Amino acid sequence: MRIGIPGGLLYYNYEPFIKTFFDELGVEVKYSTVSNKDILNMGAKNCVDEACLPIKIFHGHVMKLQEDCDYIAVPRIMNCEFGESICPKYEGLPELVASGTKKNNYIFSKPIRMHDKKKFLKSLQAGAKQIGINKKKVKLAFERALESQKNVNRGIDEEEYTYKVFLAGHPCNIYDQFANINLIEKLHKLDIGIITEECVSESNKKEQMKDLIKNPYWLFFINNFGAAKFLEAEGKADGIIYLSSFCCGTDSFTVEMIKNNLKHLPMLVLKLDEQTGEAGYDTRLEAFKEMLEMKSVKNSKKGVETFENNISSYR
Amino acid sequence: MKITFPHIGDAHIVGSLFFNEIGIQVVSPPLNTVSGLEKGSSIAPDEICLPFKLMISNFISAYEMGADTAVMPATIGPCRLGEYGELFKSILDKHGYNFNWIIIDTPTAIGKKELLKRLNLLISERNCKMADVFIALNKTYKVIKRFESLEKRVRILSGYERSRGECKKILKECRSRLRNSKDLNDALILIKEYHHKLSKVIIDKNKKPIRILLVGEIYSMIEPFANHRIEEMLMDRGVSFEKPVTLGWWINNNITNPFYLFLFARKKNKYMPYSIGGYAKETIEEGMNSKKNKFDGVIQILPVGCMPEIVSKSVLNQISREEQIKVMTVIFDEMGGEAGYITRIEAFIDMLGFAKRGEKRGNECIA
Repeated sequence: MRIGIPGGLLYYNYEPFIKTFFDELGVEVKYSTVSNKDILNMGAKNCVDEACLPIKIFHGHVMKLQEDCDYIAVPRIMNCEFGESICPKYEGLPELVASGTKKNNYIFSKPIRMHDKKKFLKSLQAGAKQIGINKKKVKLAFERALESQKNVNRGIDEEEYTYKVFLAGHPCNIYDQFANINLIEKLHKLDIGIITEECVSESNKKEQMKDLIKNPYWLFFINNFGAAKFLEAEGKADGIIYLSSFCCGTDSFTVEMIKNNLKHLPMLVLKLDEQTGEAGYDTRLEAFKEMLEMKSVKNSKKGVETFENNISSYR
Repeated sequence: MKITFPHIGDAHIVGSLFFNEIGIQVVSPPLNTVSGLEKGSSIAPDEICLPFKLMISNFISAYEMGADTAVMPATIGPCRLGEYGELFKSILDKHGYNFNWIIIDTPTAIGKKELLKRLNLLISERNCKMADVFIALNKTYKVIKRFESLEKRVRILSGYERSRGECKKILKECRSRLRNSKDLNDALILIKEYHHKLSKVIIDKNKKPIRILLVGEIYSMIEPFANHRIEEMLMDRGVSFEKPVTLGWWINNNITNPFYLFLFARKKNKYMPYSIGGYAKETIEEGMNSKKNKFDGVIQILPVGCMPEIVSKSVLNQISREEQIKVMTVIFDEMGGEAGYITRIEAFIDMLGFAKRGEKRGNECIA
């Protein structure tokens, strides 16, 4: 029996947890973490048209794993560690995948509420029961996995480049080199280093929410909005690049809120879709770099300079 | 204090009746129009859902008409509606429309005390006793319920009437007179009169009209501008249809019946076992039961980019495949062209007609 683990969406956030958990369970596991053109095509073909790029890539990983796995782990994440929700598509992921791929061998699809450890464990135990693993073993694996997730420092913070930008967005876009066509490498070539939201602590992010009239509930909103405001206040970043996917529901909101709340940091919004042209993408990055240069020459910090447009980035 | 709230269906009619009854001034912005939508989209983010763009244009018009306090309902995620208030404030403040905001949130997000405080703030300038407020609320609920039952009857009867368009005319007349009614009592009498009028419409019981179920996202279902007046269009074509999601349905489930949400979350559903926000589970539930309730087809309505309904669209496709239910999804955006929608819906009605008369044309499911 072999279990397939598609590496998309929140896999990049919880990689240590997932790896340790399945190692400890002692089952045969196959990962599909590196996406490519075939995976995207397969996903786009089988997924509902209106879904966003990360969901389509996830579909592709699942389709690929279907070829030689008996079960595929498709989690239904309702809440993250601090009770934040993500997006309805994550909550209905098993249904979305099942109707797209026309198969039903998905496990671990009971609701996962990470802020409640007991419920979290219970849902994993229910999932493991389907493949015949007893509760005790799952509990042990669960504790080890939590430990390993805690001990790993995630996030990128680069010091060796002239400029440093805050690379905001969903982890599935930031860490998937295929989805963002080597954005990080391209930035390095332009002498720009990056810092990601994981480098800002949870309490610092929460502090930035004080001015809002309502406590926000989206994971990616809290992470990106909080980190953007914090990094601006501390002067740790020269600009923001927001990596978003086309038709993303929560990003339409997050980007606008960041834009309205920034005081002087320039911001570039890149939208990813299924297209693969790179030229437009490169030009915009170069323009952003030039703008950073000009800004540092003038050394003036007046007015909000926002470089946003709704043209597809021709990825 | 002059309050305003965004348009959703006929809420502005009953809303202003209620607030007038307890002596609070209400500014009701003009009905949604294409130019209003353009104004809204010019300051709203590109990829936000259609209701946001319409609502923001309502707030701007109301501000220009002298409103100073905006009331906005909110929910607790993960659908975008819960964060609307936040973004409205941020954008409108930036453009110089400075409202006082009263956000009516769910008690799970802000606590019962805070909710009561906000509701009290809303009616702080009333000129009557607290008891009268409750009486007015009760009457408002009655108006909503009775008007919706009239609407429901019209929707069903429009397939059976002998001379086409009579039911629609009665409904239109009732709505326009309701707008000019003096108070809630007056409105109740008026609706009763039209219930009576509707009973006198000549019905052909031998007719076998096509029966369609409308499901989908709540705002687009209730606000006629957001769905390009699909209801009137269906009535014109002699279709008998039903629409379970209405304002009264929402009030019943969320306010007057405290057990509904609790029970619904535990309801078993083969295709969507858990509620995922928005009204996706309801959509699926109704779609599944459509065959049992003898509907010929289902039309799903959603504004472009609606997150929960994208999932339910995908699941409805699966249901359509497995249970031979005919489903068509219509996605509305801010484009004003109606011809494409009309053609598609007409084709769907034709297809249902062929299937009903036993002429098999093409495959069963259209997705």
